[in-house]
Amino acid sequence: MRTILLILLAAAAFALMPTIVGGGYFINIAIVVCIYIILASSLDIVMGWTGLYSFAHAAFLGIGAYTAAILGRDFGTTFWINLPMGMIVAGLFGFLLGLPLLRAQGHFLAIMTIAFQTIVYLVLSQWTDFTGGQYGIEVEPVAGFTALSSFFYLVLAFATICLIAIRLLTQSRLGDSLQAIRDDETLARTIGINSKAIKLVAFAISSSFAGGAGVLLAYHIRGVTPDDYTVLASATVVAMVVLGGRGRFWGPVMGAALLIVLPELLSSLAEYKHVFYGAVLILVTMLAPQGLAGKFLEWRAR
Amino acid sequence: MAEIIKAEGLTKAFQGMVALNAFDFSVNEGEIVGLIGPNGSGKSTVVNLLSGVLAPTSGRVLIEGKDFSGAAPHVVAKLGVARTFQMIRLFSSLTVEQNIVLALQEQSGPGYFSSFVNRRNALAWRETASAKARKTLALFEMEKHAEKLATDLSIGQQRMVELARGLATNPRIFILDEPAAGLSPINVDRLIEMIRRMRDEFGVTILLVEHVMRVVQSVCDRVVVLDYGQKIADGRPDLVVKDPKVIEAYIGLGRSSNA
Repeated sequence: MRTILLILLAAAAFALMPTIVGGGYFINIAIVVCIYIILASSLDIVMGWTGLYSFAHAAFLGIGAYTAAILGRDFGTTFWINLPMGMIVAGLFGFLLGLPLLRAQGHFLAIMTIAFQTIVYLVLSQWTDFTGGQYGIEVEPVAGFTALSSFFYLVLAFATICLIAIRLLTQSRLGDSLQAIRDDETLARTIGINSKAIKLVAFAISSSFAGGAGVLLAYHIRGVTPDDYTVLASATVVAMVVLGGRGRFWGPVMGAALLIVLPELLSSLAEYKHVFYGAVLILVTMLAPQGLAGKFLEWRAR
Repeated sequence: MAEIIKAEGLTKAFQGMVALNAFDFSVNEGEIVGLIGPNGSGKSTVVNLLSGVLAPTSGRVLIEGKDFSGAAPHVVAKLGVARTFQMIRLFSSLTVEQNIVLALQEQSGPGYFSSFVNRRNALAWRETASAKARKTLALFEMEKHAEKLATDLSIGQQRMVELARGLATNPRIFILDEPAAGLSPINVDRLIEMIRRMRDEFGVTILLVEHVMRVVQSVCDRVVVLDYGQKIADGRPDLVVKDPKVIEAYIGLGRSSNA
């Protein structure tokens, strides 16, 4: 309950931002931070809670974004239909990717997610008739939210709902089962947990949140191009979760905010940001394997 | 007496190597049955087949008369088959109490959806489950460790937590896979006492797979002996240990004939 209150407080504080630092540049960064917070927190459902390393999260981001763009282009549907559709389609693909993943573990599972990520990228960039190839598809802004600050409120509201939902999910019986599977899958099964079904559900839910984030991203940059959904983007989300701290609610939130804001602050770094993300991953794994959230809890326990 | 669990012609081959061959046996309600045999005789294979961790190559597993051959472990668990592991298994990121509550949740907790939408109800259930976990832990004199991480305990204590985890769920049958492994003599005495109490006070049917003969002889009503995947004896413990075939399996033909 306290965490949910904190989420609402943080969202309220964040909502004041456009009135304090009005510039479009800051609001843009704030929108991207919100989108990546959804991504990192949803990846943590499978990575932190279940212990399955997935390098395919940007693929689900892309599937959500392209679902919105293609529906809008071919059927003229509005944002309010495209958002749930993007989530459903990404969730379905998450479920489908989950099926072969049930047979793999550890590094092999990670490699399979990279393969899936690559396939999605190739389809997005090569199936020109359907996806627009490298040129992508244009997306009209959300009617009624064309002003940047009002779109920011929309994204902030959606991110808040996602975070509360993720909190409630991980605190429910699902969270217990995921943790049990992460600790010891054989034991989890022998006490009665249907680990295969639970892992599939976790993958579907996690992917569906990423799909939702993708729809928002498509409307934010007013279009989709395949190069936004590469394995590098996936690795960035992984870096956010690892830096923030796996399996702790505020970990991925902090990780996402830091890894978006830091390269902007050191603008000379922006060009080398993937090098920076890589360095962060290595350093955190060596110095604070439980991430910033883990370090914080350690420090408080003293 | 009702047969709680029964194996009919149970066979398991690993890539041609027959680990268990046409094994027939049953455990009746309220019995403590010992399953013994030299290393590699197929004891652990039996446990894994009965608990659903492995699927049989041929033959059947009947649980209370119904065929559950090849059923997944979580299905078998829901029927009331609890087990422990030769190498102790406990959830390492959870406390002792949480370990037991999690097992209870699978038997009687609120459903996945209900625990998500009705948090108040889920929390209320958790309180009752915690109380039950504490009560069971008290039985094993482990309640003072309830808040500790399970993996911070000694082997003897972890073994007690495993027993408490199984007992708390009121199993129809409790399969103990070498529970005396790695225990000091004092802890073995404690284990013997607790196995007896689980049956006498809680009416739990027990299948005890064991190496330590002292444990088997002092608690079992009946002993089944495996050698090279074959059943070679089945009967009262005092008679089974005198069976020449059993002596041969344990000590070897050459020496037993000299002795």
